[in-house]
Amino acid sequence: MPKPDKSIDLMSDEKIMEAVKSGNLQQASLLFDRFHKRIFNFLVRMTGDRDVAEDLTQNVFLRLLKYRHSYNPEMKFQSWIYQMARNAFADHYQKQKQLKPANMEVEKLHESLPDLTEALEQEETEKRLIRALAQLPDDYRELLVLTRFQHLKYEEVAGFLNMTVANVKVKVHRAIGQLRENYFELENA
Amino acid sequence: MDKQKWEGRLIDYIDGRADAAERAAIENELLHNEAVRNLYNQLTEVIGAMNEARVLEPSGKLKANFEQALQEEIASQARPTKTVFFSPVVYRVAAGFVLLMVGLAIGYKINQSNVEADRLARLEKELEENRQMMLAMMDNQLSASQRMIGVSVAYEMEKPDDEIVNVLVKTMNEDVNTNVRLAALDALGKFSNEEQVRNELIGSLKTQKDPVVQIALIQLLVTMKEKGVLNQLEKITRDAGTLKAVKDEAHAGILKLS
Amino acid sequence: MKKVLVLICVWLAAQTAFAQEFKVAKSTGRLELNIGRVTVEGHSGNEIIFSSRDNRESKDERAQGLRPINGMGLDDNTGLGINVTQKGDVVEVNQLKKMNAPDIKVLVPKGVIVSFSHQSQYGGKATFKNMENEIEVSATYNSIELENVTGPLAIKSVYGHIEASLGGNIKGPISIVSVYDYVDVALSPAIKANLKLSTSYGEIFVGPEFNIEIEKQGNWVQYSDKVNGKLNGGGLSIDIRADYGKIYLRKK
Repeated sequence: MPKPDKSIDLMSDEKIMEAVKSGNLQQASLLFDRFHKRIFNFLVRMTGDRDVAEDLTQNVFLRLLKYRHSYNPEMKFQSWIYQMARNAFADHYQKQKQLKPANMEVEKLHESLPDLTEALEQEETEKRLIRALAQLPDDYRELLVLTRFQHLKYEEVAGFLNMTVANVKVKVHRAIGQLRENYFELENA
Repeated sequence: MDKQKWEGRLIDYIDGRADAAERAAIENELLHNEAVRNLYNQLTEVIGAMNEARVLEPSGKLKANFEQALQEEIASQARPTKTVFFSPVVYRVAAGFVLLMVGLAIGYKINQSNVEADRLARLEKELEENRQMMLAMMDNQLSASQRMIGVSVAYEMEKPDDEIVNVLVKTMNEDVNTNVRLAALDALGKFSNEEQVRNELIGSLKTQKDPVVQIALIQLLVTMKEKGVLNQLEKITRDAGTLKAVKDEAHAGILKLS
Repeated sequence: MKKVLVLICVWLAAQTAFAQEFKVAKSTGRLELNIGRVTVEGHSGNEIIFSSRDNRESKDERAQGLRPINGMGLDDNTGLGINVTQKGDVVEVNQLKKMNAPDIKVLVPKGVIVSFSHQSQYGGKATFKNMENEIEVSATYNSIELENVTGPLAIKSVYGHIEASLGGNIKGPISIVSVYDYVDVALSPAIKANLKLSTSYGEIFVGPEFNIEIEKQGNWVQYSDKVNGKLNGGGLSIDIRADYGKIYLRKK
């Protein structure tokens, strides 16, 4: 029979979050280990800025602690934490730059991008990809980050974006189409 | 050409979502229609670029900051922690449920004839996705074969996490059954590129008393060109209580490594 | 003629007297045989049935009316030279004499896991016949023979040879290991399996009927003389190992 402390590590994200919710806060550390990299990468791709992304990631996990009582165990933990990440991103832009919320209007990010492109010493293609991505509307960029960079399934994404799977697919197709155009325009530029 | 429509079809095709008829239609078009072909090439390139985009590492201070915030939050909790979920009764029920699931899975698995190897493979995949069940199988004290199934699922994994490595190490060092220990050693051998696994294998040579496992372990360490075990091999050749075959293997190992 | 009849009667009486049985009602759980030699056979009943195959010519007249006991504090509660004890789900069988293993035959129901364990050199062969049970063997000197068994099997002998003939609806995993002697396995070439055969100083012989698709070694370590492959696309796992002995894989 495994000891309880060992079994915690074997548990689903949802079970761990339930434990956190019922006061076993230390377990949040396991969820941090499991998710912080994914959330960080999501936010890096969304903001184009490592430092901002780190701050926002920190913010997401603080929200997890703060709002633990509102966690609904019926909901997939992954959906919940991505929702908090999206909120953190939206809040950030509302507060800092007084821009419109993330998924409302086309927002050009590439002015804020040099930070990321230079820091990474990437190959030319990845730089170009990041620039092309930055030119997309936020909702398109978000869909591509989730489904292509983070490899989430359409079904999973549909779950927390409150969209139908078919709708996700159509929008992803449009997003790729537009990304393609941006990407090859940059090539010729 | 309706570009948007073609983009949709080609993306599904690239994603592997097109059925046979659609694939044939698209492949035919690719042969004869240059505009579609160009579109296809460009889409493959951007999709490929996204797939291959690197995963970025956050700085170490992220974890440190979080831990600090977590400890502050814990300290600010007025009441002592209330761990409802882990109260013994709930835990026993949960454990019972796990055993039941494992029992079902094993029953299902063992009942498969070789005619149904496909289904078996699929089940293995499902099991792979469920570490909890796999680890519970490795912990099954009733049946060596069930522990072996657990280990063989671990063996099929691309890359095991620390928890699984730890259980494999424990199995290799402590399982009552030699065949199960060997299976665990085999799985660890597959992952011997990992620093932690390598260290555990080296460590096991000092404590391992099962001659069959000792022999296999020495062979593995020799193939890994692990010169760090030369001293331990010397010791084994001088140990009066060790089986001759093990000593012979140790001698052979010393020759190959030095 | 009469004489012959009388002789037959006496012989029959003697047989029945010697063919003593000891039964334990048990159709699940685990049977642990810690004895030097044994023949185990599957049967469709709900009892584990023990009997002795020794001829009792050497019966000790002096011991008549006395009770054999041994250093482990076990007594012969079966009349067969063995002690049988039930502990929860486990039926444990121990022999009383250290050096002289009685020749025991055991009939087991299908649902019982059978485990044989013997480390001293004073033993004989362990035979398992017509069984669909899960079988575990951990032996040092005994030779092990398995006839018409389905597995799962976890079989080890350090010095003894192992012969296994697998039939029926084979269930994995199958793991068979000998350090010094040969391992001879017969099974249907049509089986779907992931096969691992390995020896350090022996040789591997495989029947021409087996079509092994050797796996690409990828980036993991390959050691010794080792065959890693799939039979018929892969399936249940079969591991066979003989460090100093030969491995034979033949068609059944």
